[in-house]
This record gives sequence, C-alpha cells and structure tokens, in this order.
Amino acid sequence: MELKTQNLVYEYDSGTDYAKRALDGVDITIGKNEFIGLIGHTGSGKSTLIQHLNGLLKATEGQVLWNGRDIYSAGFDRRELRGHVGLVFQYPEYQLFETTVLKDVCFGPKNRGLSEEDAICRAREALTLTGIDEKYYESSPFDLSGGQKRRVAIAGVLAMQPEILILDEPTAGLDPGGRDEILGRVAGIQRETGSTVILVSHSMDDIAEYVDRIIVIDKGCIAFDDVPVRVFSHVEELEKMGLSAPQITYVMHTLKNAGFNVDTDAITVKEAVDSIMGQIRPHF
Amino acid sequence: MFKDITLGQYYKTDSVIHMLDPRVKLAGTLIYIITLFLGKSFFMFIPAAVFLVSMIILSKVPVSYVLRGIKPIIPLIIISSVFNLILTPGNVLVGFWIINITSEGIYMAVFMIVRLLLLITGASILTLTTTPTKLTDGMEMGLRFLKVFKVPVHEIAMMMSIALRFIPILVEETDKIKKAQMARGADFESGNIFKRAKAMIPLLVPLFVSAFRRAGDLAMAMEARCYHGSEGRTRMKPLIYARRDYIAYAIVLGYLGLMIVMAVFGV
Amino acid sequence: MSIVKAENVIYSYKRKDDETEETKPVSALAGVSLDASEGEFIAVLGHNGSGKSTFAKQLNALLVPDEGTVFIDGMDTKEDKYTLDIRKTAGMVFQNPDNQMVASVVEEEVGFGPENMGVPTEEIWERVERALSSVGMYAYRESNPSRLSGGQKQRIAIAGILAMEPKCIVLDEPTAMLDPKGRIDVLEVLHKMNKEQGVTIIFITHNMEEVTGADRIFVMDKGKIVMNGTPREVFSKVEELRDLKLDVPKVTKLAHELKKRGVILPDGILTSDELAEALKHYQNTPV
Repeated sequence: MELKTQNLVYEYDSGTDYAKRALDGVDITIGKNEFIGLIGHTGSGKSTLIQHLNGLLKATEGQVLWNGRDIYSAGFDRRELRGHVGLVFQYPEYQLFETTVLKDVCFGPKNRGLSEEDAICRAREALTLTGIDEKYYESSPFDLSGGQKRRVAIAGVLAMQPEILILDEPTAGLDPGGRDEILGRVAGIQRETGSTVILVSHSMDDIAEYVDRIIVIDKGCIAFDDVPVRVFSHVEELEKMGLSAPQITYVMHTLKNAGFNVDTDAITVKEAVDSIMGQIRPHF
Repeated sequence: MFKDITLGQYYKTDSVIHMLDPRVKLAGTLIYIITLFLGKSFFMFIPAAVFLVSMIILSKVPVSYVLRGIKPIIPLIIISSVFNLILTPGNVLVGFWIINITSEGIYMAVFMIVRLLLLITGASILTLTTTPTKLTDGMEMGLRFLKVFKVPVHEIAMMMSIALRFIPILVEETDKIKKAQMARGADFESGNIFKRAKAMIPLLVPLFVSAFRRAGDLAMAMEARCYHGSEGRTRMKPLIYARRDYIAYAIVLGYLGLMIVMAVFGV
Repeated sequence: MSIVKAENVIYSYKRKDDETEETKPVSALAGVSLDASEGEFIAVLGHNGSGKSTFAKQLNALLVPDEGTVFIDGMDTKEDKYTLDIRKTAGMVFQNPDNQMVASVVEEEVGFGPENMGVPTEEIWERVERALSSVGMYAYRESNPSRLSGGQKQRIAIAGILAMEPKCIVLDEPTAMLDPKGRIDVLEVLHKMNKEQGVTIIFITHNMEEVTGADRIFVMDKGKIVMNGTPREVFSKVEELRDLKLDVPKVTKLAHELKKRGVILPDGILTSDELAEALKHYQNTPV
C-alpha cells in the first residue's frame, strides 16, 4: 500500500484575480503502518492537503497516486478510494444522523456495498476499538456526551476499515480526559490494525507524545518531513511559521541555559525525566 | 452554485444611489414595479427602461454584474413565455395537435419577457446598492406604521437580518457535512430522483440539528446582551433623511405621474 | 467588595423521557459556592459535564437557582426586576464565536448590546470605538465577521460585551474552538482588560495552560467545587487533577515526575525558570 502526491498544486478561484495557491507543489509518500503528525499554522494548507488524499478535492496541477494509479484518471473509482483512505473531519460528531449509534456506524460499510450483517459486524468492531460500550449501540447518537459522540463518529469512518486513517484535530474542544482517551484509542488502532494514521493537530505536545514522523506544512509547501526529534530541533524556523516546539523542549532549553547539561532533544515528559535524572544525583 | 445569484448581493461603489436612504430606495423600487403593471402596451416600457438605465448608470455598478442577476431566473422566463405562447387564444399562425401558436401569443410572450427582465433588473439594483442591514433597517422604519395593526415589524426585521447573517454560515456548513458524508462513501451524484432524495437524508438531518443548536445558542447570547424586543431600544445608525432623499422622492413621484398619465390616456 | 457571590447553588435540568413522557430532573449543580471580589481574575476549571457551563449561565440570570442564591453586585438573580441590570453588570461570552453574532458588520455587532440598553446614538459610537480599540480590532470595524478568524471573532464578541461597560465578564470556554494563536490573543486581551480597566473576569475552561495567570482557580466536578486556591496550590495536586479528567502544565508534570524519582523540589512549579531555580542545589553535586 502506498499513497503518494507528486507536485500537488491547488488553487482557489483559479483563473480569476482572487486566485490563491493553497497548495504549491506538495510531494509526500505515505507507507504502511506509519503514525504521522501533520502540523501547520491555520491557513497553511493542511486541511486542503488531506482532502486531496481521498479525492474530495481535485488538484489544479500534479497527481495523487494510490498504489501507483492516478486517482484523477478516467475510470478510477474515488468513492472506493474513500474506503481505503478514511478521513475524519474536525468536529465529526456534527455528521451523525441516524436513529441509533449502530446504524450510524453502519452507514460507511453499507456505502462500500457490504451486506447488512457484514456492516453490523464491522460497526461492532469499530465501536469496540473506539471504546463505546455495547449498552449504547441502540441509543440515539444525539443523547451521548460530547466525547462519546466524537468516538462514534470516528468509528463511522473506522468501520470502512481504511488502510489510512486521517484525523483532522480529533481532540478539538475536548477536556484533557477526553483528549487522552481519543489519542490513546487512536494509537491502539494504529498498533492493532496495522493501519497508517495521519494526525492533524495544533498541539505539539500531543504530536510529540504519539507520532513517529512529522510533516510540517507552511504556505502550501512541505517545510519538514522527518522524525520528531529532528523536526523539533528547528525551533526558530517553526516559530517563524506560527508553530512551536513542545513545552518540554522549552523547559529543557531553559535548564540548559541555567547550566544543566541536559538533552534539549527531549520532547516528552518521560524523555525529560530520564535526561535530568542522568544529570543530578538525588539526595537519598 | 451560490456564486451566480446576484439577487441579494451588495456591490460597493461610492454612487449617489448607494448613499440614498434605504426607505427611498424601497419606495422607489415598489413604485417602479407597480408602474410595470400599469399598461398593456410596449410604449409603457420606454419610460420604465429609461428610468432603469439611468439608475444603473448612476449606481456605477458594472452592467455585466447587473445582468448576472438575470441568469438564475432564465428558466422562469422560458416557462412563462412558453405558456403565454401556447395558451393565448386568437389568430392562429401555426397549429398542430392541440397546440396553437397565435400572433397574440407571440405578442404576450415577448411582452412578458420584457416585463420580467425590467422587474428583476430593477429589484437587483436595490439589493446591489443597499447592504442587507440597511435594507432591513429601511423596512423596519418604513413599515413602522404597520405596528398599529399589531404587525411585529421590529421582530420581522430582526429575523431577516439574522437570516442574512447565517446564510453564508449554513452554506459553508452544508458543504462541510456533504464532504464528511462523502468521506464515508455517500453518493450524492448518481441514481434516479428517488435515490438522490434519499441520499439527502444524511445531509439534511445534521444540517437541521446544527441549525437548531445555533438558533438556541444565538437566542441565549442575544438575551445575555440585554435584548428584549424593540422597547426602549436605541439605534447606532438611525435613518435620517437628507436633501438628496427628498430630491429622489420627487424624481420617483414625477416618474409615477408620467406613467399614470400614459396609462390613463391609453398609450 | 464582592461582585459575584454564589451561595450553595443547586440546579437541575428537566429532561423529558421519550418513552415514559415523564420529566426527570438531571442534577447539574449540587451546591456551588463562589465569591469573587471586584478586579479579580478567577478561573473555573472542570471537565466536560462537570457543571461549569451551567454555573456560568447562573451568573447572567440566563438560569436561576432551584435552591441557594446568586448575587451579582448585590442583586439577587431570582428577582425579575434586576434581570436587565444583572446582564449589564455581568456580561457573557460564549464558546462558539459564530453562534453569538447578530450583525453582518463588526461595528454593528459591537453596538448591539448598547442599542438594547437604550444608550444614545452618539455614545454608542464612542463605546464601540473604545471597545474595538481595546481588543485591537478597530481596523476591522467595517468588515463582515464571517471573514475573520476564530480568535478575531471571539475578540469582537468580547468587544460587544465591553461596549456594555460591565463590571464583570463571564467567559464560557471562549478558547475551546480556537487555534493556539487565537487563544493567546484572547487571553492577552482579557488580562489587559483586567489590569487596566479593573474588569472582574470569570474565565471558564478546561485548558490548564491558560489559567496559570489567574488570581484564583476553582475546580468543579459533579456540580460541586472540589478544589480552590491559587494556581500554585491547585497545580500541586497533580494526581487529584488527573482523576478529575484534567491535567497540569507540562513543566509542573515534569517536576512532579522528578519528585516521584526522589528529586527534592517544592510543590506546584509553574514555569521552567522556577524549575531551573529549584534544581540549582543539585548543580554542584558531582554525578
């Protein structure tokens, strides 16, 4: 499985005076079982980019290749592609519409042409993966709490069993408990189903905690595409793009400046603890 | 699809028409529309067309932009002219099966097309030169006398301005929900009319749910900001007539007089 | 003098059961007491469903207590004759910036509150100008709010309340839907208003990084206040907060983890400078 973009360009209001390039020559390759963080300032083009990956938007120039086939070529079934590349939009709970949770989650698999039984089977699997208790299956999705609704909506995409799952700010508006629950579940899905996850987020701390590859997009171009440690070592460049490094990285820089020989590459609390413990000896 | 609708879209210029009090423009438009229905001959359209063209020139809105407003109503024009063409009795020119095209029919069809074009263009001049806010303000102030008959003028105007504010938000939301359902494999484009209607459910249910949620939120936010109807309310931008508004009224009345005279003498 | 005084507020929503057609009360507030003095910056924290939004609505007389009392500047919210005065005194900003705007032009949006209050036309213009300038949005006075970013919209909403010249502003998760830049801008505006104009701020959120600058923090759970104190006092209870589905700033968490590994540190470290200072005594210890 491979999803690839080649010189992807997307222009709003093409051909008019207002023409604006939201994407300006994007080349990325997404492989099997990756956990990718996609970061960028508001308006950097990240939402536009992810809508190309499942063919919702048509590129002005360039190509998107799914296993080597151009998704814009004649005869390519983009509806089928959306089953392979699942996209969960921001605030996905607003797309719920069915009378019961189970029926809503079945919507995707049924659109893929599955039988009622198979669809229910997949829906149950997806709901288990997102941690929705069976007692809610027959409830109306509108009666659930905010965090539960969101997990049902994610299950709605997951039930299509996509090889790539893209989540656009899945934790927006949730409290820390809800955030940890969702991100924990997503990490579990990536591990257990062997699928690739692309996480779009404004939180550098969440990104640092979970992903193993970061793509940074700025003004419609890819600025960095590397492992987290290396991306977050470019603190100044990130700040110029309206982004930042994880909080822990800043803490480590402060400690270093204060004369501690700590590792400024640390991006999570755990790494920071290990690095600091290596530098000081506790008075036992 | 919404890009083509000029009706209800404001075009900013610094023209005298833009500066007029919205009440003048509302009254002027209303009178203009009435005069289009005063007579039955083409001659009546000559002063109307002159009036309309002068307004377009004065408004400084590009003609191409004004004409764009006609595009969405072309189907309506075609349907009405076809009906006129085949249903008007009289001197039969061409006849086959049960359809007879008469010379009176052709006359009526052309007459209706001209009338509709004049009407729509006139109405779009109003909306092109007046912001939605001013338009509702003008209606509220201009129709205040209806309060005597217990018509909730202020509330209606408030509802209109809120609707205007939320239309772009709901259009954007529709697009978002549509894309979200397409990402789940929904198909809005193929199949027969029944299949397509059924495919709209996943779009319409969330849209309504969201519209109701927004309405509830907005009502609460308005209440929190001391909104309690028109009683004791002051205005940030009150409507006050200037000299140009009285002149404009005079011109409109002069035009109306001319049209009445023409109609009475059966031109 | 206390501007907001809530005494043992109890409130339930009435929810109708679809099947039995019976209305059942669902408890949202189970005895909340909170006292805010004029000029304070108060943060109310709690996970979703802890009752913090219901509590916010009590402060604006959008809801009134079933039991207990809320006084705004000495006025009891239960008495209808005070309702408008209470809303003039304690203005309210909501979570979704789109859903609280009435007008299609920024300046008219800001003028909406004063119009409702019956402020004379000329004064409305002065107030709108002042309010828009103090949130840094004067340049956008003729724009359409739909074209602005979330953070800008939320600052317009704050200006709309400021123009009513309240003594207190209650903000119900105003940053929840914003990006990091929008959050920072909104918080800056709030702290500026609090310091320069002495406006009391009641800021409701679940984002811990935003409240380190507050004077006092109240933490809610299951319709009750379960913790209160300065940010330092509250953030020293890392484990308790986690059980309440909340967390602490990363540096506080780091200090907490270090302590668990035997490092001697004070409780409730809020900034990296504090951490560096507190670790100083290890600096000359040979590894």
